[in-house]
Amino acid sequence: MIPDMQNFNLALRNIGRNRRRSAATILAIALSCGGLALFGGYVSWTFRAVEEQTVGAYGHLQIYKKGYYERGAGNPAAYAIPDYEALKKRIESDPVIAPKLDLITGQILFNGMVTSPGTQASSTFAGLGVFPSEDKRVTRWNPYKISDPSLLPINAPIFSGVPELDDADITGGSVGLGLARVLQLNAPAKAEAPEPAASAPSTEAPPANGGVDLNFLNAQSGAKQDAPGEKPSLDILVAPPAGGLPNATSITIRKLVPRATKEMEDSVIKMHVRHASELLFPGQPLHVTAIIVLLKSSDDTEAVANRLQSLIDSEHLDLEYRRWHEIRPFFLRMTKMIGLIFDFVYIMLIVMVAFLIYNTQSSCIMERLGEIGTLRAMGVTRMGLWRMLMLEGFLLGLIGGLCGLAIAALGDEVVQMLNIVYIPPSVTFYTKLEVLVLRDPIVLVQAFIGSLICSLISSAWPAWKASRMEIVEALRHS
Amino acid sequence: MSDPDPPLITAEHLSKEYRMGREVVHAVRGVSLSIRRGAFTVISGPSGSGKSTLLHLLGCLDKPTSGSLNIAGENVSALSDRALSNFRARRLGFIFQSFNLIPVLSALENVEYPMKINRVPADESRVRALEMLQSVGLGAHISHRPTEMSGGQCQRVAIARALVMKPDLVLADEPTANLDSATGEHIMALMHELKRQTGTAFVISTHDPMVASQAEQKILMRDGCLQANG
Repeated sequence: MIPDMQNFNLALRNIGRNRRRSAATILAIALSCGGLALFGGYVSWTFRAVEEQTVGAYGHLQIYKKGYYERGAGNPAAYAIPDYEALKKRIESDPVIAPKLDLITGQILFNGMVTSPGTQASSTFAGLGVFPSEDKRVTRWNPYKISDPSLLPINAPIFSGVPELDDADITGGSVGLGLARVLQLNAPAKAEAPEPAASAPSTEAPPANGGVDLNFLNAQSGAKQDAPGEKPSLDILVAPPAGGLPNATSITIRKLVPRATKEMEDSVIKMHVRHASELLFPGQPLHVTAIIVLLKSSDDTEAVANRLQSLIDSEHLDLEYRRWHEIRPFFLRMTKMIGLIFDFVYIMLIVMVAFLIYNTQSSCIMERLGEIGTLRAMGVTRMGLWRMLMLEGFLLGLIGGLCGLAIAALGDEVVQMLNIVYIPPSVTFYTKLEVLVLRDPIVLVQAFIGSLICSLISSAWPAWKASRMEIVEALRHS
Repeated sequence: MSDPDPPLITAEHLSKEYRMGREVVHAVRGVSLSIRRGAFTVISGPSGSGKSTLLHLLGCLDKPTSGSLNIAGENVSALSDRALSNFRARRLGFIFQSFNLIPVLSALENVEYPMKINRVPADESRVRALEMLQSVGLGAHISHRPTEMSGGQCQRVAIARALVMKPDLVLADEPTANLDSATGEHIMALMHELKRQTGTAFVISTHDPMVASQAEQKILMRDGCLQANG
């Protein structure tokens, strides 16, 4: 067998023999590899963006009182966890969970009736009580360093101004835009409304708000922050989970916000968890309906879930939990669907490139039959010849693949520079389009390995045919 | 008592048939011959007489349909394809009508190539290739590629390549056919000189009378049969 360096050198020179054909093949491999890596980077970004969005909304794991997940929708507060603080400490101090943990927080979900004192308009609502600063940390969970939508200028109407909630503002709350419309929160003040352009950094209509003047509404609630006593407020009424007379309280409106779905926008009031707990369980310690466990990495979800299960079993806790992708199965369905599309495109490109390399290698071998006969006459074995021709195909894939990686890396930078923004499904703000090529190098590896495998597979048959050729027959082509 | 100088090649009843559609072509019919060590043998005959086929059989490039072939004490008709490849690499050299140099390699690299196949250490193969190129008068052309050399120079490189492994036998198929007569004579003179120096046997297939006239042993083929051997 010929030493490999000699083969390598010869293979490289043979590739350079018909420069135009080899360049066209390498370009095709490079574009396919680069395109595949960029598409993979886009898919990766989509998966991670949706993962961050889902985890940002639900955490990685939610712990409930047993039965809550099946039967709690009608009266969530009836399934409240009364010893939240103790459970939180117990989980935080667990040696298995603690290193994987980012944050544990609680939330309380309840239903009730809301009335606007100004307009006397009423509606049912879904209340969500959270710890404001912890909730903010959960919603901003970004381990993949994806562009933060709140920093995009086009999202300024949504993210600028006063925060939705504040730790110090126990009675403050935010109201969904749809619910605000129902409660006619903007109606009385409309005549006095300032020009939207003067009160907001962007004049572009915000998305999915049904034409409601969000800038104005934000300005209204924000401006009145400086004037104590004039904050718009809402009266809310809830039936205590244990029965009896309804409890009532007021919240001051800090902000009107769009929500991910119309149902949420038409119903959600978000408020401080302590205010919500006091409303539902007056005079009692803090209650929550769900303990949210946020991890440093989604990869640890299963390990932490298993540990939680063993804690629940060993300490006979009346609790259950759900993983983030169980709470929102959309993620798995979406990844499955886009994954299939990616696989389809991947296979199509591989097949196309394989045919191209096959054609190149076949032509290349046909032109060198005399040379192949000579090599065999000199004593190169069939296997040695097969390996030599395979090496040429491999080098085509290698060079094309490396050029493809460069194209993908360049594409990543270009997409970043172009600053393309759009509104993905199930969110209400603009998101910057990214392709995670350099930040998720697995897509580069996939595309590169695809190029190599493709070039090897498509070279195998022409190389095998050449190696099986009769020497005398090959020499006739000299 | 064994023969003190056994023949280099012994062929017995060597036949080669080709199938062309429904027709069977008998390219070589029951040829028996022996070729002496260090001899300058010429196979001649008209076109289609089977001389190239016989040369291919003697060079282990083709397998006989029947008969036996013994080269340098080895029964090559019984060897596997892989063993035949190794045999050719070690024991045989080839010179072709169209030179058949590898176009992407320089003269020096072309001559080194058989030694790479035989895993001769790089330093040694470089020295031997340089010596061979010097001996064929191409010491000044070692880095030239085949496209940068004349036909005569290319054939000299091919001769150097065929002899660099010090084979027992060099087989040449019409080595002067693509050369002008003066260059052809020079090439023949060079082969004679190298045969004298190395003791390598040459078997040449040709219908060039100039080449045939220089034979020490002549094999005449007609219609696939041996007409004369002497």
